[in-house]
Amino acid sequence: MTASSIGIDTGGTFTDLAVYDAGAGDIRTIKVPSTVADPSEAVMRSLDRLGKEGWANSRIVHGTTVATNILLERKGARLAIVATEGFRDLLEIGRTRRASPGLFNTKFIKAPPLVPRVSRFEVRERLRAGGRVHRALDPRSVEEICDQLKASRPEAAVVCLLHSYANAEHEREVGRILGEKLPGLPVILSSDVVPEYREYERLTTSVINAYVLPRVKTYVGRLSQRIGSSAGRLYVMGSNGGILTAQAAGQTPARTILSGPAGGVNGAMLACAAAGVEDFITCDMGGTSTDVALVAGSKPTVVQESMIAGLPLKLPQLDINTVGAGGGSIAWRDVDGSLRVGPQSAGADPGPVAYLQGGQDVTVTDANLFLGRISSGTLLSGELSLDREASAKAIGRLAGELGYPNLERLAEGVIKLAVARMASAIREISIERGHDPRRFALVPLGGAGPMHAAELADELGIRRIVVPRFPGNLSAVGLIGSDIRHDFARTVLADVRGVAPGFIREAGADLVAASRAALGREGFPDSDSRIECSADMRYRGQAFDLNIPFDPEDGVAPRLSADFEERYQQRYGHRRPGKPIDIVTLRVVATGVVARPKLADIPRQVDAISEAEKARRTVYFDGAWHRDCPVYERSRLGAGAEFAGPAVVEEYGSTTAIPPAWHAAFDPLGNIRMDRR
Amino acid sequence: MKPSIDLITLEVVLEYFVSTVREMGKTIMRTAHSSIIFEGQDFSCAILDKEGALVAQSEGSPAHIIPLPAQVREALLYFGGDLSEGDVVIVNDTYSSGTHMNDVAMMVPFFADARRIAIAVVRAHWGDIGGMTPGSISGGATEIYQEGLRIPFVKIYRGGKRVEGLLELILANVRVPDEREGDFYAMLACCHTALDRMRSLAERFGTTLIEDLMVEHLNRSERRMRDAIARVRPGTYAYEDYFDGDAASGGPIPLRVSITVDGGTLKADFAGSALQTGTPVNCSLAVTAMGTFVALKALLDPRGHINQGAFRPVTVVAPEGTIVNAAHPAAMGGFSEVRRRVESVVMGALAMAAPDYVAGDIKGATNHTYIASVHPAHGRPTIFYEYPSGGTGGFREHDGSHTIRAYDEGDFTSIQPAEAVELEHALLVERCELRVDSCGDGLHRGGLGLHREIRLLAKEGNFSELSDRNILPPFGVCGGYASAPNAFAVLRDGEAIEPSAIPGKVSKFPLVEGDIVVMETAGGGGYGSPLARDPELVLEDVRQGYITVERARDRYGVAISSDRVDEAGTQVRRAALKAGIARLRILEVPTDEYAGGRRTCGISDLDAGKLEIADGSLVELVNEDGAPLRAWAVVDAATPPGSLRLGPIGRSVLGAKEGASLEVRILGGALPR
Repeated sequence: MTASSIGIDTGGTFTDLAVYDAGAGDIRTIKVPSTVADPSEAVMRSLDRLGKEGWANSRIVHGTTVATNILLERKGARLAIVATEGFRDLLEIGRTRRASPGLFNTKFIKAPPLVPRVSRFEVRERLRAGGRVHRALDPRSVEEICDQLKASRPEAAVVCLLHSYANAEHEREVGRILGEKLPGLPVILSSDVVPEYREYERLTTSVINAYVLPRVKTYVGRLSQRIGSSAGRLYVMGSNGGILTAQAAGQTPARTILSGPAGGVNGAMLACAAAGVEDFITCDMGGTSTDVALVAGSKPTVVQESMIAGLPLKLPQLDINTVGAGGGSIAWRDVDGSLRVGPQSAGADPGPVAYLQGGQDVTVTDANLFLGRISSGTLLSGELSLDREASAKAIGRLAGELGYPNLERLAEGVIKLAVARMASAIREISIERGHDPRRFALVPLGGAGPMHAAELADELGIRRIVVPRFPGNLSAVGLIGSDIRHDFARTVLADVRGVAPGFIREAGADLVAASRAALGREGFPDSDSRIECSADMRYRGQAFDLNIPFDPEDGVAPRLSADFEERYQQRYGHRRPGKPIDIVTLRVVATGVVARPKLADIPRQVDAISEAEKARRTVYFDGAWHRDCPVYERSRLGAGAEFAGPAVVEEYGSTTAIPPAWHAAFDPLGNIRMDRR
Repeated sequence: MKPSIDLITLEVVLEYFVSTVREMGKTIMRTAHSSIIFEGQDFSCAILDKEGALVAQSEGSPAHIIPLPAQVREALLYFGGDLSEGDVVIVNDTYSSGTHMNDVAMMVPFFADARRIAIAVVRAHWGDIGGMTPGSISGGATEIYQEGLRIPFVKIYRGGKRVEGLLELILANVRVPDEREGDFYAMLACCHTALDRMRSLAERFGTTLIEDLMVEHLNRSERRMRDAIARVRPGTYAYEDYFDGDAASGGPIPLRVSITVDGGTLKADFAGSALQTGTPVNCSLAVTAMGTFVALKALLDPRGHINQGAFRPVTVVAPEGTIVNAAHPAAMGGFSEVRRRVESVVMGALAMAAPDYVAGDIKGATNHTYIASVHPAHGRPTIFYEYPSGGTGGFREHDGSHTIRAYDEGDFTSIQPAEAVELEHALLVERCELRVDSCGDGLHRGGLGLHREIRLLAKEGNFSELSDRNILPPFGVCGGYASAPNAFAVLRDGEAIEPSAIPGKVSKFPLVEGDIVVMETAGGGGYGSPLARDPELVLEDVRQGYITVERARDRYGVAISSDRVDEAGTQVRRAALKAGIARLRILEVPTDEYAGGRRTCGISDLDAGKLEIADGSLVELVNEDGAPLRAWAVVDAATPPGSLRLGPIGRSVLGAKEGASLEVRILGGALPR
């Protein structure tokens, strides 16, 4: 492992860098404006700010939105699809869902398919369930499509044949013939990307991967080059919470779709691990949206599938739920007189009314400014100045439209509604998954997270909040402490009682061997590797699986059933004794453990905390103005500093609001521990 | 607004309700045992106030939710004061404002401060409720007893204790009882979720405030709907359409509506609609009201909340014993086919009065498709069930979309993955593709329907279908063309077999190994004249293979040569098509003319010869500003050449007066008169 590690996270507005100095045991952060046209520009600028010697021989981990943006902006590669005869329209028909709200909307428009019909081809072959050959592949049918396929000038071809999860022979043969007839054309086999059953999800995941591949590969390649080989290795944050080598990211870029938000979760994990907090919910609130995630027993929840740009993405990824409520969310009057907040956002441009960049609509940030929770001029240490008068005027206008007399209560209401949406998002990942959020701590991050944490906690009945250091740069910090992670899977689809323990042991052993080999290639000896096996299981006939960990050395099958039923009971409140249980997929997660940054303690608070006060101002909390609320500078508060709300703590990139019912204490690592009194 | 009610608290509590019904939905989805619930999401969750007024509901199927309050109110009436904490009521009776008997509703009252505050309800589609065919829904049912077990309002739990024997009785009457039992407990878990959430809400805000907020929420939605209705010019608007009919009718049977808009209220009267049928295509008045409301919502205010308040300004009436207000012992399995046609006629009626959201008509049926067989691998019977989507209609700004859930449906899947089908059943999905040329052509064409073929691999099996709109196709609007209707057939050794006398109403048609069930769903109706469509867009549709080059030439008048639009050829072609449009002038007659419930229009024998319209053929009278009128041509010497006899309702549908010239299109093949 190299000496120092650097995390660089590209956000919509800013690119954040965090560097861990092992000698000092501390983290330093840098913020530069993002460069939308070529995000690597800002990455290099942030590195330049660090100085060449600062990053020589470092491990650089990058959180990037390149893949996501290519997909959302539909600027990916021109592709061709090769399908089983009769299934060329699979991508376009899918599961016939709108995959976005559209009830009562006669004008719903389905997004055009990423690969047009004219570029989708069929070959004669057919497998049965389980992989048995029903109709052998007719090689001539592959040769016959080559001319047309070539004429469609694809940058890559995706081969997705039915039941290839069970038998990849036909896909491989098609790939071989295409490679022979059309040399140079990258061919992606669905059985390589996701060897799991359900053809639509396998196809969309393969298509997403191929679609973003050329540009991500170019981007990562260019960045590696600019950083230079002497600088050490470049890694990219993956959606599953582990990092990938730059090369691996270029090969399966679909694994980086949640690169940015995953960094935030890892940052919270880093802070909480040091602070001894094991169960927590992260809330990463930015300008346009908020990402929430749940970590139980120091393990983030991982899901095997999600939707992106209206398409299923079947790859292991952190269970991050995004809701369209952020600092820039707009408050508006609906035609029936009700107050609504979002989902439209003023974004960074024009931004809130207070930015004086032409924004006319009241945003959540305007409401916070009006209520004194953020001060004019605090954002990013004065790099952005805010005009409270402008916000107040806009809130007055909205109050007029609504016929609502009390401006303070209206401003607080705007915040409450945004918080209520965030609370719903947290309920979806906690209560709906069988976790009681009151047992968890809340870890706010992002520029706007700590501002709303107390109200969000109140809404959910959470009584503990941990505001980590650098909440505004935590995604970058999280990149530093992330492990390498590989996921391997194999669809089994068999009755657990019918499967011999030997089979699972052997299949598990194959996957484990593959994982060890992958980690070995990246320079991780077995001592730095962690291998975890699990099985996706369900009662026969159900569509949802539960993931049950197991040790392949055990006498597996009987234990798996019992563990499954126990988990099921915990999650759903009942079990179904005697009902057949199926093993759907075996999974192995291989982790190359990276040395965690050891964070040094912050200095102890010796002076009176009033020394850290930078101002006093009137702040509105819980329906009343509170005069002379202290406003502290976070960097001037030491370990052991304690105070009761109402108070405000300001720092570069974020502001923490502590309402009257809350108490704040600085722990030795510099986290603000907030408790409800 | 009551002074105690704060609009911010109201929104916070509403967000809480919304997340509660969401959580109810998640609970049932993740615990249910039949794929129609967890894959098809064929269920709905709702919170109603103490009197049974709908307050909040899941984003599920409107077909489930909207008729729900009527059924809950009937339950409250039935039980009177005898409804206590810990009681759980279940019901599937179609005649007490139900849908079809597969939809089993479970209702639990929520008590706080020693009084009833609200009622939580889940209604879920059970994969089977007994009856004469696997899956219980069959196009062949002629009376309710063939559709399974009727459960009137019964308490299955009383004061928290399960009533002995009742669940056992139910399970003894359904197929695959362990799956049904799983679904039953999933529904129960769903209701408990609601009670827990309501309890914590009551602790936080107090019961009185919650009750007041519910009242205000409904009042606000009522005002919003009234405002939306008030924007429609007052008057009476009529429309009519047809179901495929039954053995007795020997062909299409009518659905008629007359909508009266008066200030902020709207009344829809379905008098003149067909009598209840000897097929399962019948429904309760609550379902008719639901169809009316779905179309109104889409036309007038697609974004507002849906709750009892929004229903208040709308009145729906229909004579008892008709297809839209059926009485015992009518079969009801096809209630959803009725509600969809109700939506079509409401949209047709208001097309000219509320043109903003009008779109070409859609598939008009659920397309319940069942294939039952015994899996040779394990010897157990399996029932394959799907309800494939069709295309959506073109509209003012854009084309419709291909094979996708439409505006009147929840966003759930309608077909299963081929790999899942083949894993569970002795079936092979041979093809699943877009149905070429099935769109309604237009300036903005409709979306394409689906073409799906499923082969039986077992020795034998059977196929049941319940569909409609297999005869009269979905209509286009504002000059757009009709699309292809739904079609279901069996292919045996390459030969198509009609599996039933009435199309789309198939009951346990015996299949043998190798037979292929062909499911074809309707495309969406077109919007505007296809002759006005940008030729480049037509070329693109041909390139993608959405339409054939013949369709481009004959309907759009676009000539294509070597993958280019031949501009000169297109001009010539379009001019010829325009010149060839059959037009007749309206001859006013004092009353609308019908034969066997079907509208007729008299034309002269001269025109019949010239326009090649046979006596008894179905024609469409095009309305360039709204929905077209369908009629069966009657050739008679008394009608003067160049004209077409039309009564007052027909004229009002078309917004046309005496002497106005109408485009006449011939629809489909020969149809019974």
